[in-house]
Amino acid sequence: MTLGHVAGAVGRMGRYLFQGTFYLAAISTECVAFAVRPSSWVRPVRSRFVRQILFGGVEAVPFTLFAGGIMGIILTINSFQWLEFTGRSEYLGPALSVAIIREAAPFFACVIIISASASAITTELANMKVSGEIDLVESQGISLIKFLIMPRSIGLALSATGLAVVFVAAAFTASGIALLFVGRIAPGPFFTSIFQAISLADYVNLIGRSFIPGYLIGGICCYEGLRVAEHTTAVPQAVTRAMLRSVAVTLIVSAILAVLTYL
Amino acid sequence: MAKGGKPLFELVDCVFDLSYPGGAVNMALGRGEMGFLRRPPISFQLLGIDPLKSGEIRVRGNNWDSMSVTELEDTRMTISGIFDPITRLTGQWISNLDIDENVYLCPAFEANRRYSEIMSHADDLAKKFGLEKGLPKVRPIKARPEDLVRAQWVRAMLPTRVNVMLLENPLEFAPEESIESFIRELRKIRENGTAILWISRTTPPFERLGLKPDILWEDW
Repeated sequence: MTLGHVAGAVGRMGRYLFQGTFYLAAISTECVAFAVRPSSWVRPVRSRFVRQILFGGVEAVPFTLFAGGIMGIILTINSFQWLEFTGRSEYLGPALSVAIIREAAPFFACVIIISASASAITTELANMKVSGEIDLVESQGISLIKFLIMPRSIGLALSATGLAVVFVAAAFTASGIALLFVGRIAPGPFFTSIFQAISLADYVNLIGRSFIPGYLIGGICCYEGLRVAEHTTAVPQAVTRAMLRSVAVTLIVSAILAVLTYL
Repeated sequence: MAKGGKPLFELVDCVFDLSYPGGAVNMALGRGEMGFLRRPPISFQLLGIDPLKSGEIRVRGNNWDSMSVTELEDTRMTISGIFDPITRLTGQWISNLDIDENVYLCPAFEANRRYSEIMSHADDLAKKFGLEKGLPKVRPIKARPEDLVRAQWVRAMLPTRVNVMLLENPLEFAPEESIESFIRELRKIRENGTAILWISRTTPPFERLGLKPDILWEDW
């Protein structure tokens, strides 16, 4: 492989990334522009939006409770062990609030959204494209962004935010229960120390790191689904691309917001 | 020039597919005019979604290629259609919506139209076409073929802003007893100024149906 090949590959990747970012930015902006107009929220759009919250958010609540509970127990036991070893067990509440509110809850909420909804949305839209249903929607003069993308993106954003809050509640509840078994810290002072440790930046971080990636995940999945060529064999490839890009966007947005809110 | 004044829908030297027999099509339809075009299904090309091999299509003087996305959407809202039930088996309906939701979809995006008004209008049309219980509330794949045809008729006639109607084999699989009421509604729509383009592989018995197309394009 020559230097020319490497430069060519880097160039293609750069162009692809630029194109993808440009389209995602354009789709996201147009969604916001439609979403703020009450006239966009006609019945079929509202219906799709409600279904998206139901399938992407409400149906994922039991799994989020489970994941939050398990993570709460793991983080509590690990943190307690190390803090007790260093003689700083009074910092358990603040340490857990950092780990759960700042990091675990928004990230896990987005991962759950990606696992549960990203593949479903991409497959649904890609199949609609392959079967000619997207052409049918366009032939009726209906905006694809207004009817297909906006309710999914906003639905996913709200679902991710809701799931992050559910995750926090489940994780702290499980932490309290775990501490009862450990028996060396009373749950009352423990929860007080958690609430005292939560700052405004934590709330902004929790909401921002779940809402914004959720919104962008919706855009990415719709974009990847709608750009499928007219063959069913292209659908699984689109799903893989959508899921990988959704994870990448989640990490990038998390890093940017962490820098903006805590530095 | 269309007889009915300024053309609403024009085909200028249109070649749809090189594999189709027949040459380029030239046709201009004005208000209330009806044309017949003997071709395989070409609705999505007529609506500017699939490209033509050559030529151009103008809607109220504007070529599809010259329109912005918003203009495309606004213009397509003024054109309703019935899509061929054979070649568009999967693309006639949105599979994850019920038949009634499919039918209400386009009118729901029309400004200043209440959903209850759309449902009541659709119910009236459905009853006229023989759907006594109204539009089926099932997924398209579970509906009977004749009910799908009737529902397509309702969908085509439900929007209020329609200037042009494209009928692709509208009587294919149609229940015999409902054809007369469909033709009656079609005549009403034509009298109200909508231009109609009927497309099928064979010429329908227009005389028996009581329809008189202004233009018959049968070059194959």
